Formats: sequence, structure tokens, C-alpha cells
Amino acid sequence: MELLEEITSYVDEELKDQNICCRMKKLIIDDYVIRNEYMIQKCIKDLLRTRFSCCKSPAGLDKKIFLYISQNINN
Amino acid sequence: MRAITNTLNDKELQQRYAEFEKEAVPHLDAVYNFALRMTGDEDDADDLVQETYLKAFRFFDKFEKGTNCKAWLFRILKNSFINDYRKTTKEPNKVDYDDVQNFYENIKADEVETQHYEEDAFANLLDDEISKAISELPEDFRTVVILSDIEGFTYEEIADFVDIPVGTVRSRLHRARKMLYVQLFDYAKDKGFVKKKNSSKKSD
Repeated sequence: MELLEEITSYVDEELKDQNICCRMKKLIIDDYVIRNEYMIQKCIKDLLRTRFSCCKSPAGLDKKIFLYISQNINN
Repeated sequence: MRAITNTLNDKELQQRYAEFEKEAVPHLDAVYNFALRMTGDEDDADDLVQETYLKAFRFFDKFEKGTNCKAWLFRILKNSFINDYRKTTKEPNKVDYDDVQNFYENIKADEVETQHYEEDAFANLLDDEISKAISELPEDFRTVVILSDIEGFTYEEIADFVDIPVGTVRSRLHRARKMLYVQLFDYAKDKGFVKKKNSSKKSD
């Protein structure tokens, strides 16, 4: 399990040790289970990043917030 | 708690408004996005964001200038969600991690073509279907996947404001993506976006 979770760190570029990164790259090429895990983690990460990163807040929400603050500041 | 207007004079209050607007408002889209993903409802998200910004304004003197304001706002939002909203919000059906494990262990080399990952089998899914899959994740898993994959926070930042070890962030993220994969795979399969290789072999 630990190794499979390391793949998650690899996908997120959270592995600081270059030796471990190289080992991961090799495992992804050589080992079907690791490659499968890598593909799943990367697929979902890319999907969420590309489809949901730019959601806008409703127009006028900033004004509504400042009105709400002024009305409730002393409550 | 003492009222802000009793502790700040008019000039100081105006200064706080100006600084708050400069620091906190630029993160409004991200904060709203996070609230929407947490509550799964536009009106609840709207209320949660207003409550978050009110609390942030009240305690703005506690915010250390030059540090990550977005992370600070997210932490306030998450605490507000836990304290005020989670009790009243109707939670959608949740994905059971045991089901995910069973599914995952049953993915065989000859059942799903790996090229589907590369060709993005989920590209034809609607945003609503992906949103639904996210909302069905258990809250702890939903939080980390939103913070990491949608908002782009590092493991350390997530660990800091969710108040869990970095290893737990990684573990939850790992599981959350697998749960999402299972949900989306089912949607994609139902719509015919994912074909099974040797599907006749399954009945053997």
C-alpha cells in the first residue's frame, strides 16, 4: 500500500528525492500494477484540474459580503 | 466578544476594510468554489462564503500579513462548514471505500484497456456528472481532493489547515482519486464511453 501511495506523491510532484523519482519512473514502465495506479491517479487529477479550476463566484457576491459584514459586524 | 466598533475607531475600521478588500477579496472565486464543492448547493455555498468572510473580517488582526491568505480563508471556511453546516446539510449518498477496493482488485489486465486512461475516457462526461461524483465522496476525502486537484494546494498546506499529518493527506488523496475513478468509470461505462476488452470472457 505504501508503494502505491508513493505513486500519488509522484503524480503530485511531492517526491523530493530524485532517486525515488527515478525508481518510480522505472516501476511505471516495468510493472503493470504500478502503471495502472499511476494512470488512474493522473487521469483523475488532470480531469479535475482541467474541468473545475475556473469556477467563478456569482456576480455581486463581493458587494453582498461587505453589506453582510456591515450589518453583522457587532453581532 | 467585544464589538469591533468598540475597539476600532472610524479611521481604523476604514483601514481594515481597505486592507481586507485588498487581501481577501481576490480569493473570492476560489473560496466560493470550495464552498460549492463542500455543500453541493449554490445557496448554501453563498451563505457559507458570507459567513466565512464575516469571521475573517472580525479576526483580520490575527492574520499574519505576507502569509497565505487563501489558505487562511479556506481554514475558516472549513471550520464554519464543520460547525454550522455539516449538521444541517443533507449529505448525498456516499461511496463506500470497501466497494472501491473490491472494484479495484477486480480490474484485470485483460478487462480494461489501459489506453482508455491515455485517451481520457472521461472526456465525454458532463461536468455535472463529475460534480456529482465529487459530492458523493465522504467529506474527509472530498476536502483533500478539492484542495489538491482543484485548488492546487501542496500536501503541506492541506495538512496545515485540515490539521492532519502529510502522510494522511497523501493517503486520503490516493483513496479519493480511486473512489472517483470507480464512480466515473461506472458513468462512462453506462454511457458507452468505455468499452470492455474481451467482454465475452467475463461470462466464462
